[in-house]
Amino acid sequence: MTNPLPDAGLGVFLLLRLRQARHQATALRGEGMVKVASIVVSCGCVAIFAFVVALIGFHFLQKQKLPLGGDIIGLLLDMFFFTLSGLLVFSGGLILYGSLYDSQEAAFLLSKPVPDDRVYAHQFVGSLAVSSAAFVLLALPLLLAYGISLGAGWLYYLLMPLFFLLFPLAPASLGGIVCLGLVRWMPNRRKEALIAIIVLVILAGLVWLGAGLWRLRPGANSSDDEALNEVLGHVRFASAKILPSHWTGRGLRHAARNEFEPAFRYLAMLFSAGTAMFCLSAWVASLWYRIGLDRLSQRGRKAFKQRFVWMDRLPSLVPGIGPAERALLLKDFRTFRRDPRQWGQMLVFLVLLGFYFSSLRRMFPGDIGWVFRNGLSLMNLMVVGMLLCASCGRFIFPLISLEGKRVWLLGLTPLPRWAWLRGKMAFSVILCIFFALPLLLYSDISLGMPPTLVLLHQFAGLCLAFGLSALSAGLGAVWPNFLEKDPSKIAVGYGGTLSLILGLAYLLGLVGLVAAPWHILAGLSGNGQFPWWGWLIISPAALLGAGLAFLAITVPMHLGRLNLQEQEF
Amino acid sequence: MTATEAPFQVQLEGVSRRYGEHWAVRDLSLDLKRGELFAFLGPNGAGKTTTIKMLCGLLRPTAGTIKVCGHDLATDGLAARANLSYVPDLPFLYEHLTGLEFLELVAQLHGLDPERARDRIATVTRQFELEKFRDQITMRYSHGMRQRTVFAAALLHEPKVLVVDEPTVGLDPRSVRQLKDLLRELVATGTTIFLSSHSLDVVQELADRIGIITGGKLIGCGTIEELRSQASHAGHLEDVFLRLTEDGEGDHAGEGA
Repeated sequence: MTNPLPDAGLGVFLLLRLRQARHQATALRGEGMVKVASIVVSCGCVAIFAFVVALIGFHFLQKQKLPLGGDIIGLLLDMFFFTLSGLLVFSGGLILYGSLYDSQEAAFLLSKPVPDDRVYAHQFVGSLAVSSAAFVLLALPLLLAYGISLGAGWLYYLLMPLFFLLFPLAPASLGGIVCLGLVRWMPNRRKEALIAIIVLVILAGLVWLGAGLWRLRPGANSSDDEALNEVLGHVRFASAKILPSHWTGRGLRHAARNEFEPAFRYLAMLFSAGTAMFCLSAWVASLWYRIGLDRLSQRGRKAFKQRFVWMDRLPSLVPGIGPAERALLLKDFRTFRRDPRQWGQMLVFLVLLGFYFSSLRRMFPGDIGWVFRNGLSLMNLMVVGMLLCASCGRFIFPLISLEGKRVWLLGLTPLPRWAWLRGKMAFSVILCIFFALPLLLYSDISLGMPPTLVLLHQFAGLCLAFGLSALSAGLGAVWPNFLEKDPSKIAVGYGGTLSLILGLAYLLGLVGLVAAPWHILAGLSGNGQFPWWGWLIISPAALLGAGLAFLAITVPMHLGRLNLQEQEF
Repeated sequence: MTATEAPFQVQLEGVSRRYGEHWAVRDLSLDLKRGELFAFLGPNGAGKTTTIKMLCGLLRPTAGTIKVCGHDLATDGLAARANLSYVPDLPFLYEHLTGLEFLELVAQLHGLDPERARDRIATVTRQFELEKFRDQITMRYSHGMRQRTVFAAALLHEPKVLVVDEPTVGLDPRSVRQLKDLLRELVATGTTIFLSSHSLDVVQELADRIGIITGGKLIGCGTIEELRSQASHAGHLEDVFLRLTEDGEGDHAGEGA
């Protein structure tokens, strides 16, 4: 007689998640209250910062007589959730790929008598939690500030968590379907397909931005109101009635105005669409998952052609390192560039940022006043800094952890462990300098900023490149995770989150010291000219900034070095 | 013929598997009886792991069919996998579960009712001497503890077929001895075992039949005596294996990797 057909319900997987979470929490408590406290405090700091900024923003809009419950704010909320949806499709799909096709757990479950769609559902929940963690951390304070500014009632705060829970379902399911489809239909070309999707997204973004700027070209609009209407018209696609992101924004607005029936209607629509999309993705998984896994392994052993790539020349530009360290650096460059999952999203941001700066050059200098240009220049520095901060947290922080699996190789080389860490930092510094400094230069030239500020911004960029790289590499060695092999999961863990928060704090501090005094003095003057004594403020502040950068480089690297030397593998 | 009347616990008929242009397994046919320990040998890259993955439903054959207890893996995969257990060479455990919780999970995945699950868990816990560490999270387990837990989990639902890949790697002599005793007991109770290993002395000691694969083709299959006769060599299995695989490699030379 054969064994009966089992029916492992979803409850089994829920219990599995709960038990894992319980043991992780116990393990965390076992590591001492300092770690727990630092998680709570650092997450709290980010949330409070985002909350205060959002509160100030909404207060400003109210002072401008802009109704917070009105259509313009509604449109902004729609845009916000639409952008988040796009990011969730991308990150959900990418994280799910690792969980479905490159994980021991998935192979274990697939060898058990469990239907494929349940394995998919289990992995989907895990990847959803990882991909939407940042969304919750940023959106929660923003929406709290919105509710407080608008004087929302209890309904708003009651429904907000439900909207949060349901909103990511549809985009993440879409990401899952795309991921399953790519592997099922293009197993040998999935890298190219991913690059094609990235290029398409970039092109779509460029066309959209270009069209928007064309609407605002000099002389195209007779008044500010007309220009505003043009801008609103250009982003109105985010308010399409079929988009779940629109239902989220609209439902929350109704809830904030205590409009019970429409708020629940939008919540119900979100629930239906989210669960329907999830069921669809699970059904697609029942058809394509195992076939995709099979086709993925069929991809053959095509001869790999070593080609010359400019990026591989970069390690030779680093002074003061030996051949062994240079080889390690080259290995990092090669593994980085051969995995578009790692750099795809960042490339989208970089290209869009470059296009935005080039548009400034063509559109604005003749049209806008000094104060506005001054503010834009400072904002651009912050944006580039935040991109560096996110990139370092996502790509550099996990590098030391990822070496854990290969420690039998590295650990036996005559290379001190300190050199591993230095190599990671050098890798990061090269990439940061290569992308950030030209971008900053382009931004300042586009805005027609004076040479002194250009130099100050280049100095700030350099300090950011070194400081953020050292923070990510050093803290990656202080809080390594040698058990996890997915870099995205390492980056969103305890150490990764803390490193990101410290990076943001460093960014604020550095920009505040190096660039902000110049911008404040130039802004107060109204024309960019300030008296000579202004330099008595700017110069010491910039020196203090350099001191802060020195600390950001030396302290984490020193701590990382100590921990790495004591580490047992 | 229904699944319950299947004469063989494992049937591979004309199974082939291709990776791109490379045939990893070619036209492999095997029938394993109830209570048989079949050892699968071959040099690295011969197609052993591919065969095991196909047998567990993780890969599909490019051609041919695989049946476990009469259930075709391609069309009736759930029923086939319900009768099978797989112990991989690199045992997987959830790092943040205790050994006991892992066993409970596997029992649930196999649909064991709570009472039977409790009984079986108690049995395998005793059998594999897990009492001392089954309440610790598996992250802290040694290789031997992991291997014992994985074996215990694999036998929870009393599978008809057990597929084992390199079970002796990293085990101390006492554990190897216990493993050999276990495999003998399982075979005696009617479990069919498909064992892939490079430990030729273990294979020689335990196997009822031995299959030797190289270049994706089964070049020899039978008892140790039959293989000796095929190799025209009366020595140890190691010599027989080397003689046959050298011949096999010679036969396949020029066919491309």
